Amino acid sequence: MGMQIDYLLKQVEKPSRYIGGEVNSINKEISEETVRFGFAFPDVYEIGMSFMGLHILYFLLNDMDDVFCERLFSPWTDMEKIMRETETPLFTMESRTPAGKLDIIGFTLQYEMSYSNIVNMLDLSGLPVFARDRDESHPLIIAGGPCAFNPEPLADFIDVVFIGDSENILPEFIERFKVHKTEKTAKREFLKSIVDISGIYIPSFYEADYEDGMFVGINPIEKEAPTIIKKNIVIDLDKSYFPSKQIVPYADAVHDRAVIEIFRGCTRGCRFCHAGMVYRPVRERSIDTISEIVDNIIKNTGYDELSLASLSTSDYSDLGSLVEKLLSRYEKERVGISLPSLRLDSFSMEILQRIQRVRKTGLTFAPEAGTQRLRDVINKGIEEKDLIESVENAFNLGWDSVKLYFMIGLPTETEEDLDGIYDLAKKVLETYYRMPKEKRRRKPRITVSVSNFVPKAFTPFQWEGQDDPSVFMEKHRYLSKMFRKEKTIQFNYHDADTSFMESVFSRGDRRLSEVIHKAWISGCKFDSWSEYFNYDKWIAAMEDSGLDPIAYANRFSDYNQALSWDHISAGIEKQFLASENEKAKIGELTEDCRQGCSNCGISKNYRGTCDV
Amino acid sequence: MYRIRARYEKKGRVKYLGHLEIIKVFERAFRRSGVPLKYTEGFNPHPKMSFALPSSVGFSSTGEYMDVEVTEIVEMHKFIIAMNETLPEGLRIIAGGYVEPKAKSLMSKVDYSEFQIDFSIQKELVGRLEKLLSLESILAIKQTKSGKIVENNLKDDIHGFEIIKGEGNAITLKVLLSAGSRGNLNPIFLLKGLGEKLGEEINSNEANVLRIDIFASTDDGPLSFEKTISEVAMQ
Ligand code: SF4
Repeated sequence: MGMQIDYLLKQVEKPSRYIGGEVNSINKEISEETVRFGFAFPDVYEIGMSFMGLHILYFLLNDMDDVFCERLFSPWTDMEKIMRETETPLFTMESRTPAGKLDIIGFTLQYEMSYSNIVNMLDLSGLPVFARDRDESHPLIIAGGPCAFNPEPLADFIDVVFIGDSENILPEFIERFKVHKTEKTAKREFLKSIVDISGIYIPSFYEADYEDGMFVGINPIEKEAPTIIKKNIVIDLDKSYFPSKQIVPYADAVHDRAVIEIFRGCTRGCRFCHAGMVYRPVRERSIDTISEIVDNIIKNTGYDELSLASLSTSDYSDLGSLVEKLLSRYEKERVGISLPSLRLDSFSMEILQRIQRVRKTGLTFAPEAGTQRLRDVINKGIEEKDLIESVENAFNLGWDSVKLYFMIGLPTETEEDLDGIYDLAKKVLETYYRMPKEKRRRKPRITVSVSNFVPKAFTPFQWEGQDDPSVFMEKHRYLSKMFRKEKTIQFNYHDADTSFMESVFSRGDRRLSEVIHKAWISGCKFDSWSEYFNYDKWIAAMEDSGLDPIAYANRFSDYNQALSWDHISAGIEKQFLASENEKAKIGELTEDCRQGCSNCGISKNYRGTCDV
Repeated sequence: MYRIRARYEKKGRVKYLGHLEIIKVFERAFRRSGVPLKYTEGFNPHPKMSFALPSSVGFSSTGEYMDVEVTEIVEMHKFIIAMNETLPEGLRIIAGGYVEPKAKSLMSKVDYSEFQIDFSIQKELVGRLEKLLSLESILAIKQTKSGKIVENNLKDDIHGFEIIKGEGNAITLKVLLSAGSRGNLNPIFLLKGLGEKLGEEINSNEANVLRIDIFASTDDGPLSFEKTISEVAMQ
């Protein structure tokens, strides 16, 4: 196959996406006993390689004897075309093995709009795309990641879903798989034998019921299967696996730098935020562990930039000391430090000022809503005066480019809130011009990015409706018109149709598997790429399956309505989510967990894990 | 400040790396190896490196050259070992030495590239290929960047050739071609031109191109870049 792939590589636009062999990538001796694992990212190499989870699981699995984990990505369309023409199946980056020959293929579900690519990758591997059509001769198809919390739209394709964290259960799963492989037990028996592993969900063991086209419930049909699948969590991040290496990618990876997860979870409780809810409780990695890991990663990769990853970096309990320690360690070696998701208060500004001595990064703020009222509705504890003060500080320190993130279509939004977005951006601009002239070296660059609210499962807004695409478009026009007169403010927004499909999938049931399949047959793939997303084809696929897309995106009738993810538990109680939604309606704030526990259910369901 | 000149090879999977990717690979390899690099000043410091006419994406090579500046002298064999331990498979430093810090840029001195091209062609055509290459002129049609169609004589840029027959239809063509800013003939373009003249398309996607070395033109004929290292080596 080597020769043939060489022939393909000479004809594609970016061959380095497909070559593998990067620094720290692994090649192993393969024996009869080796469990062959394909870590599959359903998008192109540059995106997949930027994802921290890939590096964690890759080394975790390859550190195990008798396991060889290789990588699979979606080939870009030019490559796919030649692959199909030459009947070349999807092959692994490492040993160029056809994916269909592997034992397990594990997909990571990072965003809904990658679902059609999963089907496409299965097909490119020469595999039946539906689980029911695959037999013992085919690889086991597993999946995990944030979207796995509502895996129903993919239920017909995937054999095993991992709900929640997976670093601490994958080894156990692999051990049991090894037994299944050597003893050649039936697939279904194997699946029955793993349901006791924490967080494991076997979609084919459940059946959903519908009445008058409405989802009304889902129940196990195998006696071994639990009624509720509880997410799995890693309790102690310090003792949990984190690799001392990263694969150093070729091609232009979106994030091409060392990265360490400093904590998991979030205490803020923003009511629209999926990750903030499903990854509770907050678990921190200690400064000592972080510096030890970082030291190894920098040594093993040669990176000159380190990113401290988390949902809300400023909330790390001792960020000052951590940054101080890393800076003094790496200043001489010229390793820059970047802090994504920083909330900009005066304390963070001090840190930023320290960091920028090494390397200057862009500044981003995420007020999310334009008025204080709406920020209270979504429980985003940012006040305008804090924002302006921080921006002022940043300008004085020499920054001149600021990005502002907002969301539109949030519950209770009015015209005033849209105007608020413009007003806030304008105030930021004015803040710049309030500085003494000698400090204004350049024209400021202010970017306002507007995304569309998508109601997500397991958030307080999971019952809320989404604006119709036409309403979103009208709001985009309204805002564009206002911003048009501000030459220094760059305004951009997300595509409304894409957001609409996202909301269908984020709260969808398993009937959507048919829809995804139909859409894929009609040519849908790379839906997260605007040049490939085809809304009409998706709507046609839904109508073809007799489903009303609007029903998925609309507000749900009441808190008692059955939800297609009711059989999955993220640890937070439905009651808590409902009360949060009620508080949102009256703009009542909920405290940060660090100020006081609001009994979301985590400490009850995972005793002793929540000690913020 | 000291300047190292290194010759390296590029083989196997890494031949598909673009030049910018190669630069990144080296930057990181230098950092991992602990070589005391000299950095540029400013907000985004980067090491000072320059390359001599890097070969195209898809070509293997045993004749790639780069200069890099270091702040203190590193023993050359140690430098080579440290780098080869950490470079990805397929990239390997094969020679190195110190050059004058003020030496002229590598790029400006390239005049020729020597290639070995493996491809297949019907046996009967080999004789005709040999004759064709021995002609005074081989006219080929070329489209310039501005879209103009011009005829140029490939022979002006062919400074030597050798044909080695392999098994079956396989043949190896060794050629010395003009390279650099004063004239440049890409071996893929050469194959295309030759195919047209022979009335038989040569599929360049099935051809393997290896750049053997690059040369500067001197009064004594082409001089391998590697010679420019040893001549001014400081240790
Ligand atoms: S149990 Fe309390 S402290 Fe823990 S995540 Fe839930 S609300 Fe926050």
